[in-house]
Amino acid sequence: MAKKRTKQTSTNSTWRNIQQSFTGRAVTKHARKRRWMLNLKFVGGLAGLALVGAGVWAGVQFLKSDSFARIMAGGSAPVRSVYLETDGVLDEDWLNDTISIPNNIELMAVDIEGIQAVMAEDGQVRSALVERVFPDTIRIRLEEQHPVLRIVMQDASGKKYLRLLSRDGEVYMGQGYPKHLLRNLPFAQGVTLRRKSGGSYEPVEGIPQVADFMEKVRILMPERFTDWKAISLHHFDASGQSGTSRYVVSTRKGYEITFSPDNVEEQLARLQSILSRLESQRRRIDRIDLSLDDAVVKLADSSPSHGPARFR
Amino acid sequence: MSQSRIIGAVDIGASSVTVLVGDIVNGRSLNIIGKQDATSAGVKKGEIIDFKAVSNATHAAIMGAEKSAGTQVEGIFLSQTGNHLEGFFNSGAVNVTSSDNRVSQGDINRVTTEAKSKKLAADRLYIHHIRNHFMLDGRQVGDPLGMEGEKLDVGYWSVHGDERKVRDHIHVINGFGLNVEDIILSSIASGTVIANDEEKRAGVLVIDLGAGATDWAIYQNGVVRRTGVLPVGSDHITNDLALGLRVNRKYAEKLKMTFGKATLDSEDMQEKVWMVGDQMIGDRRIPKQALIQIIRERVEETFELVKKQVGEGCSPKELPAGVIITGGGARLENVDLAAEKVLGVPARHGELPEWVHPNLHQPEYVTALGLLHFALSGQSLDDNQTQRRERGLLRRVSHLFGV
Repeated sequence: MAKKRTKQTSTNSTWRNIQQSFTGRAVTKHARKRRWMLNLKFVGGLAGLALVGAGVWAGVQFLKSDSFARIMAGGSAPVRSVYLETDGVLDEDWLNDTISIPNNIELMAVDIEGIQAVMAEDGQVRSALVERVFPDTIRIRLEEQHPVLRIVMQDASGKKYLRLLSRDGEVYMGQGYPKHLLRNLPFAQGVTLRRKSGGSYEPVEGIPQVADFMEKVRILMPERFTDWKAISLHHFDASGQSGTSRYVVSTRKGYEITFSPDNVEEQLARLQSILSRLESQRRRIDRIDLSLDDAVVKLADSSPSHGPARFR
Repeated sequence: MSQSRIIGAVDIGASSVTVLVGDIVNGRSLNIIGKQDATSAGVKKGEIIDFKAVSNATHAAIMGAEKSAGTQVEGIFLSQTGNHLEGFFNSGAVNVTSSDNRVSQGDINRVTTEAKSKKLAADRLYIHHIRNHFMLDGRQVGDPLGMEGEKLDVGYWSVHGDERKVRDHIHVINGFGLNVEDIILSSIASGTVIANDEEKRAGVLVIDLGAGATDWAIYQNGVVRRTGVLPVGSDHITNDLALGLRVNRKYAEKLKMTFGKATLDSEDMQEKVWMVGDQMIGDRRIPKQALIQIIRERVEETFELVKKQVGEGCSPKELPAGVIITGGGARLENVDLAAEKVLGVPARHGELPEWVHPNLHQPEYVTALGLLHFALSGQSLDDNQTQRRERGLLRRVSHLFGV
């Protein structure tokens, strides 16, 4: 049955209102060929763009790659030397104990990431950078921890052993340091250690403040600092919230000095004055408390007057 | 950076499909960079009777033209002919509304809308609204905006056609994956390039003798006054020869092209011509007089029909610049003399302007050249239509991929 026409007459009925459509099936082989060619061109254009993108990406990757570095450096050869650069005391013996690089291994075959990871596991190594220097050299750059305190620890069997505390609060074994350097480091007392999963310890809080305090003493009273045997952090509050936070220093001469973390320079000036006066009087000291507004000195029993005295 | 548009001009005729490819640079210059003809099939009297056959011929021609141009066409300007096309003159008039009697844009819009407001039957649609001059209080004016007057008139020659037949033409192009940007009547496309401005101002009749149809257009005062289409063309001459001389169409066409004339001269009376020309078995001699008489009858009949359609406008007074004959039928010897005899107006063969490459100086290319002329000028015959497509980013990117 013929379809009934429903279109109304209209003044704006022009050929331009005819819907032009290319979506139907191509009628002729020429149209099919052209459509196929257009599709091919479109796909080709997209593929071309994709290829250009992939090429750029691959180029960037290559520029960043070891292969490019090797080409630029003239190729890889068996490793002939390993340079160690450090800001600390670790040396080639430590290096040989820590890593092993097989003889005649190609420079490119060296697992520099693995070496870096092994080194970073050593508590004394703060950071490690391992580089290939073409054609035949490996360069290792270390930043080491620097000790500020010693700490004596005891295992379950009762055996005691010595560890070092770095400025960052890291607890580590320490090796390669000169003996006199370690001898002059005060012991840390009253420190609570927390174990990490790998057997090492969490960094101790507050050590940066303690290190600053010790540095000031070392600068302002170097001859007195050498007498310091231990610093107790038992009453020290790293957060700075407590009003009764204290450092208690034990000296080799047998007396204790209590410092407040605040106004260290002033306390040191008072300490210098007190010690000078008492030493000139040949008095023996038991304890000096500088954490109060007025310094309190307790003299030893053998002193002529051994009661507490106040110094302003 | 120069902007280039690749436009295809497609003239689908009864005997051939002609495609020209033009490169329009910055909308100012036209380079014709490709051409292709293909033998037409499925077209009778300018109308499509076999969609697939027409599509095959047209698509082959466009593809060949694209190949010769080395690029892909972006849009098509399509010629339109056929007996279904009709035209009428309609005018509108408004009173100028402003207090100072100056014509405003609103007045112009109102009068043009009124002049184009005639409703068509449901199966008809407009092809063109060709505006004639404005008249302001009876004076002819080009652009009345701002001029003083009381009554504004305008007339339009509106051409309309059968919706289904126009759709068929458009869908042939769409089937190749291309858009029809504009449709131009064959007679107007031909007249645009074959008649110069002076002839159009004075008054000229352009007759495009096609294979299946004869298109005509009258220009006066520089604009198209009237158009018409006759369902008679040079194919009818071939048919007449085949019947009258009892030869097949192939030889009839050959005889027409080789010995055909539109007028009979005394020296043709006794002459005989060979039908095939190889003087072998089956070949025979045909009196040239009979051949020419058959042609003359049909040619004169065609011009009589034109004269009848044009009516009173077909006079030396109305057409001081005479008649210009173009199209494939214009190749017939003395066709201008026959036209002059029948129409009573001086007639001549159309000549293409000098800027047209010698390779294209053939009457068959006139319509396609006219289509490219419209593409270059960027103006549609319809004064309220814009034919330029947007050149957006997406389109540019698509073009980059050749889509």
